[in-house]
Amino acid sequence: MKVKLLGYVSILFLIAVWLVLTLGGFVKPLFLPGPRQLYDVLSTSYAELSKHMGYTLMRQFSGFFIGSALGIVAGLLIASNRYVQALMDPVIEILRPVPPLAIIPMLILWLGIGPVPQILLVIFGCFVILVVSTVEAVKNVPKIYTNAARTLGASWFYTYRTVILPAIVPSLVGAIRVAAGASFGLVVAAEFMGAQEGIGYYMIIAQRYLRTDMILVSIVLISAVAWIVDQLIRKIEKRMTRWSERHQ
Amino acid sequence: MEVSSLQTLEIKKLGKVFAGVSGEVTALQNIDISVKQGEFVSIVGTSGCGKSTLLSIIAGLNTHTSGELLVEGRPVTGPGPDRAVVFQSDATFPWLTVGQNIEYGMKVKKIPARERKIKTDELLKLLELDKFRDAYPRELSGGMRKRIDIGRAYAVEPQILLMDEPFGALDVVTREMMQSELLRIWSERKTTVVFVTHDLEEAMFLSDRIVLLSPRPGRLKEIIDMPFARPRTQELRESREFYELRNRLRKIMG
Repeated sequence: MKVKLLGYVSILFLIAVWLVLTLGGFVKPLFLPGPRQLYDVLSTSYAELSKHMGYTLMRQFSGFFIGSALGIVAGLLIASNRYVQALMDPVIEILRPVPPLAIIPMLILWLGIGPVPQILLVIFGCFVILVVSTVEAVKNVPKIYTNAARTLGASWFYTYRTVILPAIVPSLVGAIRVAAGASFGLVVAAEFMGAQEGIGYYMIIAQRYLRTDMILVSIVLISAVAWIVDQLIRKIEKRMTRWSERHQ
Repeated sequence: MEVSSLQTLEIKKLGKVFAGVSGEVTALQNIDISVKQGEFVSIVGTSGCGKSTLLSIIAGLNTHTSGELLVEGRPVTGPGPDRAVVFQSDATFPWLTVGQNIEYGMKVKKIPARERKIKTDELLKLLELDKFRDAYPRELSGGMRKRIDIGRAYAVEPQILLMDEPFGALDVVTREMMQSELLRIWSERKTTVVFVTHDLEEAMFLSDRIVLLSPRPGRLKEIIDMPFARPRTQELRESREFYELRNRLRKIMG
């Protein structure tokens, strides 16, 4: 318990440094805004901020949800059959090293600057993470479990459903957390490059007008949401993997 | 052929050749064993004698390359609940509770829920696990997890219960306790058991007959009847008779 408190100490220290630097007048507000400026932004542009945030979260969530679901399904298909695997593996291996951000120009050229290319980018990023993790997770299920199921009379499909699926849940939840984290970065980056709304767009405009305060508020907001989402996933994870050794 | 003359398990001139990196490796050669209904037979040998390979072939998880393997007169083509297996390492499903683990094979067999519950209750009681029905395996000790494995295998009412060094990973005290426990369950259920172990005394304590295999390639060395009366108790292990037979068998093993 006492050791955990150390974490708060370091955070409080960082905040203290920030307060001293900004309130003490050691740095210009243009370089690093203080609490006062942040409060002003929040109170005057509250409505605008939440509108942009709403756009961003819609895209982030749809992309994350669709991409993760597709990734898991594709991963399960690939891992289920060695012919499917032989067919699909090379494609996955080609896609895996592609930095998702690198396809943004391509998406904009094909689809313009609407929400569709942005959602597609998030889908792509989450899909790759989940497909690779799912295949890996299925391969790592100890053979003894599938053997035990088969000697108890379970068919291939029944074994897949009642042994493979539950056994991979812990590693899948880990991958889903990674994908959720990545999806926030991807959606904001997509909005930097081509959007007419969203928190990324808002930040680019703020940058043009040298509004460091608006940028910092956006960073804090999007991080806070990302943190909350991560905490939620961890909660669900604990519930779904009560059986596993990790939470002993 | 008359039904009564059928052996529960019949292995005739069975052989297994692996395609290894440096050519073919003969794991098993000319194995002849037959096991009667209700018999407890152990397969004993040093490591590398192919005893676990033989068991996994009987289980249908592995294939033989020559000879015949019949269960109730029918050739084995793959794994099935008529030959449930208790493995050496822990094979309880950690995501299921103790009760759900025991029920697993009965669910596969599509036994109705009510009947499943009755049988699960029975087995939990028999295995002294009734207090842990809703616990997850990770909360239990190694010995108790082994009991779940045994219960899960018994639940499908197999013709033959195959056991692959099931107590190998347990400490001495727990192992001896589990051996007595197994005999108690076996004497109540009268299932045919084929038990693989490298532990001579374990095999002697448990079995009606012991099949000794010699290594590289795995061949049948000798089949010996155990003369000890049942029910067997811990005292048997300390008896002179037991000790002398053990030494004789030890010499045969080489």
